Amino acid sequence: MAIIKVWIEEGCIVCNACEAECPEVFKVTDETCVINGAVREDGQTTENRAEKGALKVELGRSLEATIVAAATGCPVNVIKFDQVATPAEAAPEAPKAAAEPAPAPAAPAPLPAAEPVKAAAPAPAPVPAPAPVPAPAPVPAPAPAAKAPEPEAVPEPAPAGPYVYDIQAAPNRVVVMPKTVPLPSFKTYQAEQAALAAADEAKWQKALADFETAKAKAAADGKDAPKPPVRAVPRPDGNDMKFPAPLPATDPDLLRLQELLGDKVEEAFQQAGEMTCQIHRDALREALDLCRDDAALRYEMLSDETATHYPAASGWAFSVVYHLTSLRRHKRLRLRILIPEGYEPASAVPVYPTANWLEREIWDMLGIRFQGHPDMVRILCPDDWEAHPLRKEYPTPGLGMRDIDFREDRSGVLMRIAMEKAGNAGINLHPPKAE
Amino acid sequence: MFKNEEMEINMGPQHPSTHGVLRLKLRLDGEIVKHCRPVIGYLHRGVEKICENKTFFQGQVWTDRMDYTSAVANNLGWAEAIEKLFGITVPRRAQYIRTMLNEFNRLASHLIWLATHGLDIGAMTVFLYTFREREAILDIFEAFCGSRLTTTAFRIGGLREDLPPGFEKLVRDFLAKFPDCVNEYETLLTENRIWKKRTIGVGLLGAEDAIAMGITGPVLRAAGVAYDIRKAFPYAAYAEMDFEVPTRPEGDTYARYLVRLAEMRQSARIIQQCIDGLPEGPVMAKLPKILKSEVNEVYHPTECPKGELGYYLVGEKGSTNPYRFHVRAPGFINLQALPMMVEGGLVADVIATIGTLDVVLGEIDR
Repeated sequence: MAIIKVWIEEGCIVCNACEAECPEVFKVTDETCVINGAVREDGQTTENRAEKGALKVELGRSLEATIVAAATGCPVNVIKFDQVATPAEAAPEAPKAAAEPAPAPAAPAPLPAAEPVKAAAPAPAPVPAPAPVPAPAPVPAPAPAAKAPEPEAVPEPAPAGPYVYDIQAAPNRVVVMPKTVPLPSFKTYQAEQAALAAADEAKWQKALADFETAKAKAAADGKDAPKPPVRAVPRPDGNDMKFPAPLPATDPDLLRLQELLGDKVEEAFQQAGEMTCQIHRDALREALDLCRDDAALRYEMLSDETATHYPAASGWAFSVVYHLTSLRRHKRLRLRILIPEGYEPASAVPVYPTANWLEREIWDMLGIRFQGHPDMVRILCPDDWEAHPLRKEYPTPGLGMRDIDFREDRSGVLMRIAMEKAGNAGINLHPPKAE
Repeated sequence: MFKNEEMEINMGPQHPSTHGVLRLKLRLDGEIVKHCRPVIGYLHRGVEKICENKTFFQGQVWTDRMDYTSAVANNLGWAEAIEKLFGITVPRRAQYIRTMLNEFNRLASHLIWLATHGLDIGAMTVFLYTFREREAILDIFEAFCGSRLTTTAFRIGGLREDLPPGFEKLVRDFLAKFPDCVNEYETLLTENRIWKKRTIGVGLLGAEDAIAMGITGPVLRAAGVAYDIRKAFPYAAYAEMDFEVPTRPEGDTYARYLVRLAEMRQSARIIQQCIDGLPEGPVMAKLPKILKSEVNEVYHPTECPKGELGYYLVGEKGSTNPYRFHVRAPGFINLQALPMMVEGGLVADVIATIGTLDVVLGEIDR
């Protein structure tokens, strides 16, 4: 477990109990209790409870016990905190940061309202700490007595900014990666069904053999013969639901494609009334051309193009699907290719101009680039977004509410573009050098 | 002062005529649009990613919020896509009610389009007329599912409840007066000289270009292609309905206006057939409490008021939520053709063209 945020609700009675318990985090002023700036990500010392700034990660972990003790020891219960499970729970706890200033008082005994207000004593100045500095030489943790001596810990990488998906840096963003590869396929389905049928048959044969031995034994012992086994028949469950199993290709369009493309067709099947044709990735442009121009096919329109991330697959990582529509013959066809990470499939824009924005969206959302695309830039996310959100490793839980300054240029892309444009227009935007 | 150079201006993202947060980067030579580049994504909420982490039942709520003027049509697509994924048979009565509500939704969406399109071009009056009828339709939605805008109208496998008492009277009252209302709009606009000057020959898009750009819906039909998914790939109860697919050959803004008005009349016809021929029976299929999918993928297209709304779903074995969810939003594809339609025209016609495409940024950005 680690604490990511601590804040003070209204109603502090300035009893000093929290500061006595955990002076690294709490600081009692004349009117109320505040959180020390040195432990916060943004370096702010503020008592405004609406601004719940995040704690530095390693502090939230190492000081967890004392913060919890202070919160439970508070007589008016105004100390609140957010606690999350760390994925690396078993890993050794990180040492205290070197930036940690004040040595704790020797006796962390809860002293209710007895100790005077520490106005000037350790008072760590609200250092606007940059990225959390991993301790080069870990100071032996002085505070809680219950803490075991900490072993050598790996210093955590400094987070680069608010848009970081590093699980270590943001411990509450847990990602569950898929374990299976749900790629619909007639061959896989057939193999699965065959395996199931074989297992069922083996079970039945075993039951029969058991029955024979039991019968022979009973006959030898002179007892009544046992009941013969009954083969279980799956009962209908009474639901209006029947899984549409994949069927072999019988549609003339699929047969035509198989005939035209030969070995390049990896698979063709029909399922739920839809036709799927999986082709080799290098034959994509050829297949698209054929689908549009072949007299027997004539799929004039590309309805949709999208991709799916399969991180559990071996040898490939994405499927890209093209949904084609024939307006004249009222038919639909799905072309599918499987591509590994980093492969750049040929763009469909020269064949179907619709694909322009759709491929930009795929690049934006899944990080697949298309060769020969006229305008391969992001479309839905901001230009300087760092990752591709529809990949399976992209986390869904956020870091909670936080302030984002949209004028802030995180990766410098916007600044570079602005400078370039200004330079083209003959304007010098560079700040004058300090004299 | 009279420099002869091109000027680059931003239209939007906070502009009343861009119907949301659409931004257009226009390069102008005087009043002529030389280059247009739409910039979208200001309303991106990651609906696809969210739905991949919700169960099949929970996802429908998010489809309400994509195209918020046609929530029922989005719900219908979602419910049917999942029924296709699982192979669920929906009772016939539920199919009829779904069809009826979907057509009401088409009316509501077209009415709001007509109101805002008129408002953009300067015809203020029609706004007041269309919102009167839209109010009656929203009352019908409210009577059916208790909600006016974000309806979550259907359930996977049918409907949550049968029609409430008094619903038929609401529908029949509406149908009795609605054709006259369409006549009123026509009186206001169809022969209006200013309306014609602002729309005829504006935002031209021919059939070949429209097909190449993947345009669907009224925009494609106004270019002379009689492609309607309700006819071509019938879903819900559309196979049993008798209606026409109105088309116009011109491919301009005025043609799209006429096509949409004709569509409203056809929708009223379909509603009439639904309410007259409403079959008896259950409204919900028998389903297990928890839906666990098998490995399957479906692409289910439906004729949303704005065009082809396609849901692509991939099911994972034993999972209660979709492995992959993708929306083929009609507005997203249709907006792509905007530069083609406005380049070479006047700035003022950009407004008319955005209006005629009937874009809703909620579904474009998702």
